[in-house]
Amino acid sequence: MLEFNLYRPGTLQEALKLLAEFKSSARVLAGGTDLLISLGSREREDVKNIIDITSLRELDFIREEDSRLRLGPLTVHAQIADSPHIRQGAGLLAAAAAAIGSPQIRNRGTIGGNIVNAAVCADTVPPLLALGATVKLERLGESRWLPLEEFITGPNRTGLEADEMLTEIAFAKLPATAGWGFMRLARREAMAIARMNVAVILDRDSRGRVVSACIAPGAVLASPARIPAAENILLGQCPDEERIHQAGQAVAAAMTAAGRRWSTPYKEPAIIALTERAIKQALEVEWR
Amino acid sequence: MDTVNKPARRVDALGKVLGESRYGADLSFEGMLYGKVLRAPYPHARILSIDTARALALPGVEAVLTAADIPGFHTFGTVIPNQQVLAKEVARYQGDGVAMAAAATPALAQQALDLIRVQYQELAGVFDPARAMEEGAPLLHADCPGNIAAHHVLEKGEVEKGFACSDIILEREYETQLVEHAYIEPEAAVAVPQTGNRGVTVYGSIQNPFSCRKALSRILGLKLNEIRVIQSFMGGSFGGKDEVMSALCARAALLALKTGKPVKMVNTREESIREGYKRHPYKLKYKVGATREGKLMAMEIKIIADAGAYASQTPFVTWRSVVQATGPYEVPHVRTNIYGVYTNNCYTGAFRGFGSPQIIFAQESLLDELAEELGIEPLELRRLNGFRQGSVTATGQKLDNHQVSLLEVVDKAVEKSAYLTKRRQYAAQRGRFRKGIGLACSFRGCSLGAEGVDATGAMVSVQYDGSVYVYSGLAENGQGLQTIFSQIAAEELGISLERVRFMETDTALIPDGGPTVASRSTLMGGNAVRLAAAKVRETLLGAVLEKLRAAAEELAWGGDKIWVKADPRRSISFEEAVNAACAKGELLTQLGWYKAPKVTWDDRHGQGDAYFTYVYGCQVAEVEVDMETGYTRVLKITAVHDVGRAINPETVRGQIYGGVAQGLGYALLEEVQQYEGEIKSLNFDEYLIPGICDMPEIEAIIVENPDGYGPYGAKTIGEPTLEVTAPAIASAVAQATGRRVRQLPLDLERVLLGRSLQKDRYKRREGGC
Ligand SMILES: Cc1cc2nc3c(=O)[nH]c(=O)nc-3n(C[C@H](O)[C@H](O)[C@H](O)COP(=O)(O)OP(=O)(O)OC[C@H]3O[C@@H](n4cnc5c(N)ncnc54)[C@H](O)[C@@H]3O)c2cc1C
Repeated sequence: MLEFNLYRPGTLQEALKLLAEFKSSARVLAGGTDLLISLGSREREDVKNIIDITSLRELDFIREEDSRLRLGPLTVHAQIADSPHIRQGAGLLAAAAAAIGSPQIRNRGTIGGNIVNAAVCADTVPPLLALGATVKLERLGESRWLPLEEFITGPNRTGLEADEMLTEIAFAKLPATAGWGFMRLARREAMAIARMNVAVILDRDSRGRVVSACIAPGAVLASPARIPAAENILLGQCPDEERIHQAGQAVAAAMTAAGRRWSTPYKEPAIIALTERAIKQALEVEWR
Repeated sequence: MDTVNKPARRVDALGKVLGESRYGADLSFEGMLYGKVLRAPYPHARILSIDTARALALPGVEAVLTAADIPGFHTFGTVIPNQQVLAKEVARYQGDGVAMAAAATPALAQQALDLIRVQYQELAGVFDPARAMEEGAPLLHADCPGNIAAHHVLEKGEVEKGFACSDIILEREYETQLVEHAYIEPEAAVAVPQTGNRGVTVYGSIQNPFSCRKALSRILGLKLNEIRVIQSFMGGSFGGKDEVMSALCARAALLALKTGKPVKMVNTREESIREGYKRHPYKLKYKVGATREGKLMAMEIKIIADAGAYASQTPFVTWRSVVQATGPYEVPHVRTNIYGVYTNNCYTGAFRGFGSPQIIFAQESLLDELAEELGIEPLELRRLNGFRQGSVTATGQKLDNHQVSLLEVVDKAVEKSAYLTKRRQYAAQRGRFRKGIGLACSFRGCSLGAEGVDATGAMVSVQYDGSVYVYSGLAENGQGLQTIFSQIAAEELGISLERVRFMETDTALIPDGGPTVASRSTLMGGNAVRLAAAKVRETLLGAVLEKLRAAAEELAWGGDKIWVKADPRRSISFEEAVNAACAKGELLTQLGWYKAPKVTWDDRHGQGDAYFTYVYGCQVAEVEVDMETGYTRVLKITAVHDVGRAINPETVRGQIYGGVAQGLGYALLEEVQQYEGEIKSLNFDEYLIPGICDMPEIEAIIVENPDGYGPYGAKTIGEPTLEVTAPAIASAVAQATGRRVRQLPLDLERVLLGRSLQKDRYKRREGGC
């Protein structure tokens, strides 16, 4: 059984102080829906100090400023799914948050935890990537901003230093002209991690030509990234069935180029279909 | 009838809803210790030495035991007692316990395990039952050549002749998976040394208290009357809390007797999945011959079942399979061979269905495939060959002592689900999402059949204030037994249900009435309760007759009173009747004992009247398949089951909903991932069962053809509800996709690609998704 000291700092400053002191023997506890599970396994016996940040209300916010959305890391998935700001300005993130786990998990799990845990199947990550989100990392007396794709470096790996905390996530609202799609595939309806997911944002000009495209799949690459090869297929085009299919194939190609795994024979056709559907959803055409 | 055949509220509901019912893990006793078990790290290994000295030296640790410390036998088992409580010389699967410790806290007990040093010599393992049967394969049990745990044959007619007369012959292979019971409550037990007496009392989440007592007697070297087993409330069992609980109770009892203190043992979910037995995976080869018109002529069947490391219920599970393997169809010529084979996999045993879900998946799929080859609607093939009144089964049993309602349930299911209309409608679809509809039906022998002695008892005890106790040797497993038995007692005595209190099953208070299995409780135990209550009523009648000065036939009983039919003003209350009887010194406590009607079995040819009565069921499944991802949603299940008589229609429906949920999991999701003897899916993040959002609309339809033997005509419902769901879903998926999947479960990969990829995952040692 694991034994540890539990700290409940009242302010962010106190939390950062504790981190500065304990460094890698400490873990930050947000909703605990990932952390408590990993603490239960014996690999985490190096963890001696738990810093419970759930009472730091200063990290729990959704703000709209100018045309940007700023989220505190303690925002839980249920809040994101229900927020009018996010539904209107970043609908794909709301859709992803609404698809996570179950009501219990959505009421408890935070977006900060989802990002820092950095599971390949994390549902909020592809939408945030497509939205071009940046994350703010703070340590005592210092802070820095990183683009999300630089922050997450591999499966369950990030650039977070032992004495740092994630304190904000920010991105630009989608323009009114942009469409989005988010598709997710799991083995059952709820309480099932995504086998794959994909987020798409397409902006079109008045003639229907794609002027900007973001395609970000999840559980496809070891560390999350957009797929420029797929985006380029759509850019400057009024995508038809054929182009959409090619874009799907480009995502699959990026996946297989990174290596073939046990699941590849299944994931290859399936990610093509999911990508096509997300693109169609973004174009507001029937995908069923 | 006042109480029976009515939707009475469950008598155990309130305590459960209020959180007051005490489950195994809730129990606590003064000075109680906690026990933990060290399990084998290898699926097959010789134990060279065990050093417990350091563990014993740890302060707070009160006992560390190994197989060497067991006073009686270190093995037990219902049929072949070869299951080890603690492994003695050889560990045969990764769930085998090797040593155990009792300490003041669970953490200390765990720490003690970490200090035990065991030297193993790893042995070659065998994980594929077909390979285990080959010459030269590692042997699990010295006395079992070819690793054969069970072999049943059935020969009817002349199968070669049957094939010779057939216009079409089809050969198909099917495969089913390893399945976990997934009860919400992992195993828990507390053993308390008896004071003033030799012996031990054990409480816990025990499906079959008498089987448990028998195992304990053998292991502890105590007499049956020195062991008292009391069942706690059960958080599910589904057949799964038999041997694994006997092992847990025996370990707790060994530690308790060693230390002289109560010892509690509770498995974690991971321990539960690693050690607990599962549903047998089957490999089934079916060869069928039929005429051009679709009349079945012959079937030849060979089945290999993976028994895992120990015999457990394999001989009985495979026996039910051999009886029912050709399904509810008239087949003049049959040859079936089924083998249960030892491997170094997790052992397999009883699980709701008990050898039927596997064969029904195969035989119903086969009939669909045959229909397709013949260009006949699958329903027609069933109508053509399905059992009717007087049909003869594969075991040569003539079905004439009960209503053979197969075609009735099939017709009803077809009608209620609009099967034929939809079947036509879904025949030619193009889109990405395609629908399909399919049906499956079954017959099922009730109770134990020719497996063995089939008798059970119950006691009804009327107190002088008119309140009533019911005791039974069969046990509540969450299925609603207490309610059903209470309803029967109330009906028989003409009293309201509120007067009846059902007592927990306690081996010290009631005779051994066999296990709570085989959907036998309502039928067998219900009869015992009825007999007991009728005897009490007979005694009461004597007193009533004197009071009312009327003849027995002139009286009516009900609503807590007894009155003269012709003149209802001449009545006495139930209390008055009880008082009058007590005043005369009459005994108002009676034991009812019910022995099943005779069955017969000829082992050499697999012929005989295998069960004394049968039930029939049919389910229709409607699905929608995502053709690009293989994702399958079940839209609706129409479930029609003949139960003889529904003692409580609500609990019957509850059984149907639950059975369908488990059947849906069996069809689409559930598969214990086991690679070279190691279970990989040790918790519910990897082992997925259906959730509420996966459940379709279920239309549950109860058909009642009262049976001559059952109480009020009641038969069986627990297992039939689960056994036909998966083949109905598989059939619907086949219609939707135009391709049949012959392996369960129909997960994403199998539906999209036609094969599973999981083996590759473990071969390549890749994790993740
Ligand atoms: C049953 C179940 C279902 C789930 N379903 C899904 C699903 O469908 N999709 C999905 O994406 N995920 C799912 N998850 C995973 C999990 O719920 C999410 O990843 C969730 O967002 C994690 O947030 P949390 O607040 O609980 O994180 P925690 O467990 O508290 O923390 C996770 C990690 O992040 C670190 N951390 C948290 N906040 C900060 C911070 N501000 N600064 C620095 N480090 C921090 C912690 O130290 C820890 O290492 C599921 C989990 C469970 C148990």
